[in-house]
Amino acid sequence: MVISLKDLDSHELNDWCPGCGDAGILLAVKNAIINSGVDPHKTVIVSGIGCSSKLPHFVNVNGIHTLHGRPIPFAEGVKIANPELTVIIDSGDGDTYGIGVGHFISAARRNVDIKLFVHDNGVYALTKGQASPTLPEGTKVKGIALPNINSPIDPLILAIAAGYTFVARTQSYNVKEQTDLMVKAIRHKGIALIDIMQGCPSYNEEYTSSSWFSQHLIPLDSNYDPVVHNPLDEKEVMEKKLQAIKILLEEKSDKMHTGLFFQWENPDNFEKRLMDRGLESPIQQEICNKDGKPTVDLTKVVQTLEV
Amino acid sequence: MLYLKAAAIKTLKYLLKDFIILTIALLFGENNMVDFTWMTGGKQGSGIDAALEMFSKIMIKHGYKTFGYREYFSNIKGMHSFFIVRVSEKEIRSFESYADFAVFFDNESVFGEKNQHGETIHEGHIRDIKSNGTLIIDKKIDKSKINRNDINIITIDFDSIIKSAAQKMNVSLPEAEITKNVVAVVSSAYLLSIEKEELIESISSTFRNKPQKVIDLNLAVADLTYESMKNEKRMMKLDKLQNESLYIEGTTAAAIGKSIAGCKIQVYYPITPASDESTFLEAHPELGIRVIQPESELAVIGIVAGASLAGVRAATSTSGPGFALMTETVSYAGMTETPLVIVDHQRGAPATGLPTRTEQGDLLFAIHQGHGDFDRIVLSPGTIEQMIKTTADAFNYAERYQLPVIVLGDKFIAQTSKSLKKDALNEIIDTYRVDRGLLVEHDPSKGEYKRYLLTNNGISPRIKLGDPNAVMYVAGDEHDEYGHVLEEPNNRNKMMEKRNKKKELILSELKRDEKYEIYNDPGKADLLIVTWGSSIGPVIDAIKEDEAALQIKLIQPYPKETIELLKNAKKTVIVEQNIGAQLKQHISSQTGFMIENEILKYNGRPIRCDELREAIDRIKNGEKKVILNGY
Repeated sequence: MVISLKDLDSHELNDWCPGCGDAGILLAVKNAIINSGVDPHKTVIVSGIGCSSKLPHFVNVNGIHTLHGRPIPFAEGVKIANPELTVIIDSGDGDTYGIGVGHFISAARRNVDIKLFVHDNGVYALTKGQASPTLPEGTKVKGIALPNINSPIDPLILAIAAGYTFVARTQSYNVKEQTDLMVKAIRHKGIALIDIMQGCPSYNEEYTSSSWFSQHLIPLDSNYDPVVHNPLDEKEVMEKKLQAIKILLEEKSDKMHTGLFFQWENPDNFEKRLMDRGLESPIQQEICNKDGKPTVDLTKVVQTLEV
Repeated sequence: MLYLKAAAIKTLKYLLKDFIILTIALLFGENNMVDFTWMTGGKQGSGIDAALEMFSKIMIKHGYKTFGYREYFSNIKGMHSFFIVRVSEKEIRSFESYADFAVFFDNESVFGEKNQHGETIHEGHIRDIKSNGTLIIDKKIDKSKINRNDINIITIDFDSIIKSAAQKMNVSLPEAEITKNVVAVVSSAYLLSIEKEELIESISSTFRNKPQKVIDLNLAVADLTYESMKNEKRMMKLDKLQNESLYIEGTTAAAIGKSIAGCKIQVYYPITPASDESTFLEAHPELGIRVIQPESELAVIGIVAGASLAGVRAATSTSGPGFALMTETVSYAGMTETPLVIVDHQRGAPATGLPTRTEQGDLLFAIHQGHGDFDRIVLSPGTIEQMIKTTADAFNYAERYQLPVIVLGDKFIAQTSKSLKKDALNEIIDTYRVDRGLLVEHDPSKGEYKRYLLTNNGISPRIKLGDPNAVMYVAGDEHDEYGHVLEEPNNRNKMMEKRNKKKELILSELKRDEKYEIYNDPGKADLLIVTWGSSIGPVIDAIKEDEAALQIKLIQPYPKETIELLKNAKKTVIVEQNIGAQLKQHISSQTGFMIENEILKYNGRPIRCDELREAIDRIKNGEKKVILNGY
């Protein structure tokens, strides 16, 4: 099945500000769906709340626009219920690293095969530009009265430490780099994070404009190899994690890298763990016959109740 | 002669008269029926908690019906817990305040305990023995301090039995200490004239999944205990009956209900008293239910909602604090018309409250949980049998009406254990039919799929994510028929009305016995007792022929037709385990009818049959409000 960008248009028009980086991300998401060859009917985009999270409405695939901070649990539920679906999350930095940070860390413990595309613009734009968890301390943006009093978190280091098996950074105006990373993330088996530095011309133009990105972001060295080639080699896994964390720790907020930092096709994903327990795909299990009679076999349960 | 020892100070004449009357009254109930209460207790973590199950199973195997309950502190080791088993020939749904016989092997159980500030933690169980009842105690407990001349006291040397068994089986003494529960159970069963062979068989069966070494040790203790009792008079001869029953707990009942309904994903965060439901399901992978334990209740309910959107029956089980954390997603499910099933095993609240004690304090919260107006269903089963069926039904309702369904249980039901006839379970399974409502595969000839298609009854065809012919949009923002965000006022009105007219459909479709139960004839009764949830057990057991009871099972939407029963009643009283008379408030807001009298209990302990009986009499004699305080 060959599909075009037009096939992926929904009948909704986006209402993002002129020049918003979300438009670049939207284009990359559509490109990635096409290039990765997934079935649009079997693809689900889950989002939280904010400008970023309007994205599912603009793509002609399934879209679940959830609550602020909760797209990760929803996405996990979808994927655990029906492992055949491709599950992508488009949500913001406030969603993922602020109110939903507990889910962000904990999801990695399960390595559920979901893809997080985080629109990271340093601000809560839809509520008029308050500081988000990634805005550097001391930074004054338009929506706050005084420079940011909180220090930022580094989502990539956090992700690697938590157990993400695919960790990348890119920026919203570089559609090609985004598309390539998104295709890789979709094809990757396991939990993936792409932190997308996103332009917000309305509330954080100073630090997220296209020109700021081109001055302060550099691609990872072409010799940098993020991939764990032998997924069962614990030593290689550790070395590749350390290599990524070293670069991330050393980089300054005005000189950052883009590209794939770490990829490990850890075979120990959540679906496998459930299957190892003999728990088949829930969507594939018939729960009743044609007249609605339950199919569950309670023989063993009843045995445990016998006196 | 049962009471020889206790009554040694009394005259022989008095004793003989006493014996005859009491044997009949205590052990055979009013109609020569066997109906007695047994109690034990001890430090948590001492193994005593297994005694309840062991004793119940012996009684069930012997052909009797049991009703057991455990009362314990939020503590792992050291605090006092106690266990009550009522045994009867007839169906029982409650227990009474006083035990016919009890067995204890620690001082705290007998005499009570105070904390370092001199505050009473619990008062001990001497007061819990019926007059002329029997108390079995360890030899170490100072009998002279037991200030009761009207009970029969039997002492057993627990330590020497355990020591002998440990030596015999080559087990260390600390390792063998845990078998004190077997001494307690076997000595009690001896007094009921249960044959040794039968006890051995029963105990072997209870421990059937344990290593052989454990089984052997327990059997050795059983044997030695039985022999040590040989000089004691039997209390009675308990005839063996034919009555094939299972032994089941309330949380297991909820788990079975979910299994029958075809729930394939259960998500939970650990909380008392709900966790047992999920751990039971996890222990049975053959049911095909994926049990997930994520990082918080916020995650729990999100995973349930995601699975539900994918078209899989999913549920959670929690208690008040966890239920509160799920609030935003319940509101989301109302807005997005996503089926959810939540079982709230209520406990003492507010806040952390009484984590291991019972209460019916979440009714108004369950009805109003979540910001904004949206329809939901709140159900409340009152017995273990109802818990199985109602929990299974909850999935049908959630999918038929596309909304959140909350099943309100409580610790009283969750941690009640009772005998359940196999036939009763089979009947529930055989009569249940899965009804997924308007869950369809989209027909492309009907055009583009609209998740929120406006229909006459407010229910739109629902597809599973991954439908080959459609994509689905779902939004917690106000949305149009496609599920896309739309703030236009006319659309808002239509969608609000769509979501808020389900209650009429629910009330018109559900059958009477899905909404409420009536016990006795309200038309002929002097008093109509209105109640819900676990309070119905003691109510059924306590009421007389000239009293009737109305149990509300469908709390929300409220079955307004019950107002006729209320209006026509000579006198009405609400019975609830909370301080606010929450169902009374709810009925008043829904029907305008104000129930005139109240029997309430909010000390964290279940309503006991006898205290309720007394309270009903006081209401009949003109009192307006009775607060129960049985522990």
